[in-house]
Amino acid sequence: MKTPELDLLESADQTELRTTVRKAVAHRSAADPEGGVGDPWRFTTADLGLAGLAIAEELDGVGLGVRELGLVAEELGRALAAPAFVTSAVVATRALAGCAADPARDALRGLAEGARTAVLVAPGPTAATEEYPAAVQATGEQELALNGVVEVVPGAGWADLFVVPAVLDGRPVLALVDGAEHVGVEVEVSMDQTRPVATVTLSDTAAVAIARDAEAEEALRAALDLGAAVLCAERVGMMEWAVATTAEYLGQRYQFGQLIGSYQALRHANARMWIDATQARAITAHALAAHDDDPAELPMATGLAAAYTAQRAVLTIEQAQQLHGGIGFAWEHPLHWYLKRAMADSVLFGTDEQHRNRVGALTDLAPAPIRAGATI
Amino acid sequence: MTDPIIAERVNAFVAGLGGIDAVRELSQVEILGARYDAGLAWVHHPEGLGGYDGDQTDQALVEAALIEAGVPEPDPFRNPLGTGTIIPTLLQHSPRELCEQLFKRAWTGEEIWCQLFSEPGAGSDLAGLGCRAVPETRNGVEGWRVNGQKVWTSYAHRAKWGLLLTRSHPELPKNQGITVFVIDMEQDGVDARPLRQATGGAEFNEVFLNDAWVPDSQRVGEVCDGWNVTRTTLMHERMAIGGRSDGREAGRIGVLAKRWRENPDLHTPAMTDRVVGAWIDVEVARIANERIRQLAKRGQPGLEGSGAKVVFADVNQNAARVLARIDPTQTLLFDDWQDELQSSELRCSSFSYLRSRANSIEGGTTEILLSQIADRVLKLPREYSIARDTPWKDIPR
Repeated sequence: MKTPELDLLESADQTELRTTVRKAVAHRSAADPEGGVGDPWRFTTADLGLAGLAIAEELDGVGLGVRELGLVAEELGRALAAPAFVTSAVVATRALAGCAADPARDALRGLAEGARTAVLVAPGPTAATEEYPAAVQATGEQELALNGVVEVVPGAGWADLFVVPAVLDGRPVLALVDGAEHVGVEVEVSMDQTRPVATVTLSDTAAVAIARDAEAEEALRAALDLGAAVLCAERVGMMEWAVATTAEYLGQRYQFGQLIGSYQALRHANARMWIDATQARAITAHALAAHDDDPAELPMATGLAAAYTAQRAVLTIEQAQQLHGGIGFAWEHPLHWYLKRAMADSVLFGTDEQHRNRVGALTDLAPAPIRAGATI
Repeated sequence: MTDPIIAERVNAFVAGLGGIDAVRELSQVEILGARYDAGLAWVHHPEGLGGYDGDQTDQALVEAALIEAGVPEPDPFRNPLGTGTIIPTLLQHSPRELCEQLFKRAWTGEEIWCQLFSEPGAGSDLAGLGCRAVPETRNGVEGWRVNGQKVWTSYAHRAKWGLLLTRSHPELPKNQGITVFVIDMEQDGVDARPLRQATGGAEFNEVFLNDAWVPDSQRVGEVCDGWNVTRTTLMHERMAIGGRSDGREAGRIGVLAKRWRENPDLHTPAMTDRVVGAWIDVEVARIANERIRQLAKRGQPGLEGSGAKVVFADVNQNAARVLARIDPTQTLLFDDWQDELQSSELRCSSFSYLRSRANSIEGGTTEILLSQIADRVLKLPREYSIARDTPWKDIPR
């Protein structure tokens, strides 16, 4: 088989961007100890202009690549900051960018300014390999009316621009709803309080069609695959946070008259966490690089990275909690926010099992698709 | 994009031997010998020691230019320990005369080398080794008498020379009383015996040293500076292992994938999941290794190599385990307990399984590597150990 020779390292410019973001979000987690959730955009839009990172320059964006989206997501993941970045600036933005229609381009301008927040109205676990969602029915021609209920949509509670996959006369359409006042958004009690999910209800909601048929399908697929890859980078940041936080704790805590970091069982567990984080970093770099430079490798690279990092992020943060002992289970310690995020992330844009099956299908090792009608 | 200066060097080399047709008439040893004399062996070495003081990165360019000129490629495994780890160690730590005496025949493969490192009582704790060296003058030549036993030594039965770690000063702490020598393996006091392993084969040797002798002129580094020398060798060993770049489905996972695809009658849902899982883990490890290669190329090697070795062992052992269980009939069978040096690609899946069990032991156990990461990357508090200044002779064993 072909050997990918993608560049897996970071350029000097990328390192500079990373440093800037890391400094800006340090100690500014979206999770606050009271159980509430901070501003989903805090310290990103206003200070750094990250909302327009992937938007083309002619639409007033920065026009950077997927590697850059990844490293920003990694730094935000490390701090659990700005949870709307993935749902709005990555996924919804990519869906809009796949649509040539004017309303989509106008929406991107608004996003690039940082004035608006968008969301893709699909259930969080929707994978690029699945059939086009049919939960929302559309009627009309160019001006549409939407009807339907979409459950567990991450980031919907913050949005005022809704990108809705819908079905019009049995055919796929992407519809754009401008303004939260036209949409019923019920934020659910969520596993991940820092990025809660919501039920979105559309009742004769006015919308415009921004893509149809193959264009709509392709825009949705690209958005979900991009989300899956960038989410891997978020996990890398969280895993590295867990490794470093655990090492710090093991170097401070005394039991039996010794620093517990001198006990081999604990040292080795922490070292294993570090190894998994370095593997996650490499496979994620590979996926991001494939999005930028190697479209043929993209499905495999995304599947591999998502399957690996989804599972390992959960295990790594579970292990961090174990190595912290009791304090790791206490609400006052930030660990539980990371655990909840990792668990929620492990099903976003496809579960790790779905991505694993995707790799199985692509390699012809597990030829049967997991759901009827699924594509690779 | 051939570098013109390097191309000129290579062309002059070929012309000096009478043209490419004349070169093709020569044996591998003759070609390699001529390369050594022309400074086209290890190009970063000084002149007279197989190089031209070139940049380390010139090596790949020179090899490519030689191939382009039509010079036959040498066998990279002609003397793997000599060329891979020992010569770089000698270059750094030995006087020039010793290097001049040994380098050329190591390069050509006329003389094979081995590493006399591990002992029955010193595995993970290599610095605790006990093979004794005592000063002794023989025939008016200053030297050292050596007694002890080494184990897991590759190539010892074919080797002319060994890089030997000895305990010269038992009264000093363990890391401070080690001295390193180049020992002539073809002497009465050195006895290399094959060491049979769990696969039935004998890839390695035990080496018994009974009143063997080595002249002081073959000492590598200062007396008692042996641990420093050893670290150089171990560093080059790690680089030699980690530097490889394989394609997707290279090695054992390729065998597994092929056999799986060819035998759909053996597919069950549970086994499918294990096969896909093994494939993903190997592929992730391969890509992580590619990243390490890119880091090293950029001059930023870290301890990722130690982590990669741990992962390599894990994923290979899992792949071998799955491979050995794809076909339950084959799980019950074996091919050859006498192991007459067959290429490992031709061996049965049960052999692969057994051989893979050494992956997490050889070249640094998984546990030692994890401890290294805990120390050097995570900077965790040190494990409990006896006081570092305890004399070697007082350590319990």
